[in-house]
Amino acid sequence: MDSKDLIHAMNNIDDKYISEFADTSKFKKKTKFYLMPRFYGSIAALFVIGISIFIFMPKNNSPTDIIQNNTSTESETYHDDFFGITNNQQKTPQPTYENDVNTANEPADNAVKGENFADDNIFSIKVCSAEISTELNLNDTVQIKGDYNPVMSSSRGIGIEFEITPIANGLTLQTDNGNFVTWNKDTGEITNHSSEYFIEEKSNVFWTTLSPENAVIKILSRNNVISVINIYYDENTNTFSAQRIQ
Amino acid sequence: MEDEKIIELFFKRSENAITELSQKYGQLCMTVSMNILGNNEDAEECVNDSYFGVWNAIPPHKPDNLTAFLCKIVRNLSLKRCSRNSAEKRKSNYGVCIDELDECLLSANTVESELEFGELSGTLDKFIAQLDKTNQFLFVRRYWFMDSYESLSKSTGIKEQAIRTRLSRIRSNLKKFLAEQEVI
Repeated sequence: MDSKDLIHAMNNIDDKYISEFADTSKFKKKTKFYLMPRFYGSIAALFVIGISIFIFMPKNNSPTDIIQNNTSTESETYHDDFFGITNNQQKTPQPTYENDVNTANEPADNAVKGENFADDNIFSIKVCSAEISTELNLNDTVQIKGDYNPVMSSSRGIGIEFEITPIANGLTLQTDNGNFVTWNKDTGEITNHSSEYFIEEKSNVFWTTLSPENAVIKILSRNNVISVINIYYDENTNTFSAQRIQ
Repeated sequence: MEDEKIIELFFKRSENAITELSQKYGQLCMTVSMNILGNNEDAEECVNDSYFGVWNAIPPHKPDNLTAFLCKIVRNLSLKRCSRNSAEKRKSNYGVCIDELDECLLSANTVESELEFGELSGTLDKFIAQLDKTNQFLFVRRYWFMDSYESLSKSTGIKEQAIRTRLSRIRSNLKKFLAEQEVI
């Protein structure tokens, strides 16, 4: 027997093989999608688009945008810059102040209550910064060391923290320069607000500005101005003063 | 037209039977014949002879599978023509296929078989049956239809070299199988 015999013998194989394989188009093997160059091309294109969006997406500077960072160093630095102070030793998002007399979380024992208003509502203001943590009474002037440096604080500038205990119906803060910022000390969440901010409960509110200039902060209750705080900036000493004038 | 109706036309001795057969299977017949002969004129002649063969065979035959019936006739006639054109055989796929299948049979212990082709075909049927679908397709298309590797690659989407490797393994297995079946 030789190969010719085998070839001739194949002529008598089962008809089903011949008819089944006569039409080759039915047997065209489909290429798996993950073996197609188009598949990898699509993946690469999506990757590039994703990276491009990440790189070119503008930073959110809107007052209502939320910058959320619970644990990162960026969050800590952000807060330090808020006061124009660089403190690389700080490891937690909790703010600590040099010469801290009283933390922002705890109202001072000698907190002076503000004027009485309708419904016996009482509010108090406490000014906190890296240097001080004290109540701001009527006609009081509190010196706040600025240490403002655009290099150190290119985005947030100087800030002053007010711990405000509002009256029952809430208080509205307004400023003619800068804006208000709140910071959740538990979660590290920082929220930018506009130049107007409504307080419903006791909270720490930061006033901040990109440029060290004088500012006026009004505290309103039901559209009535119940208190005014002037912020003064002294170029020579590079300090801020907060004075409650009403 | 369906095969049954074409066969009916043959039984009615209608000349349209050849026309319909040619329209439906002309291309396939030409492919089979061309793969064996490698010559267009010879292939056309064989295909026409095949139609004539079918005309003579039906009736009395009433094939269950007209495709296989026709293709077998075309293949047989083409192989005979190829034998006649033996001087040219090295140029055709048939010649290459013969060489490739030689390796299945070249053995010191080859029994110069008195085995009938029918028995050998039965053995081949068993061998093909145990192959997976892709390998069945490759084996039958290569050694029955005598497709080129390039054509197999186009029809399956498998790379030519991969097909060569697969068929090499199939031939190797065929050799073992034939030995087990005491054919060689």
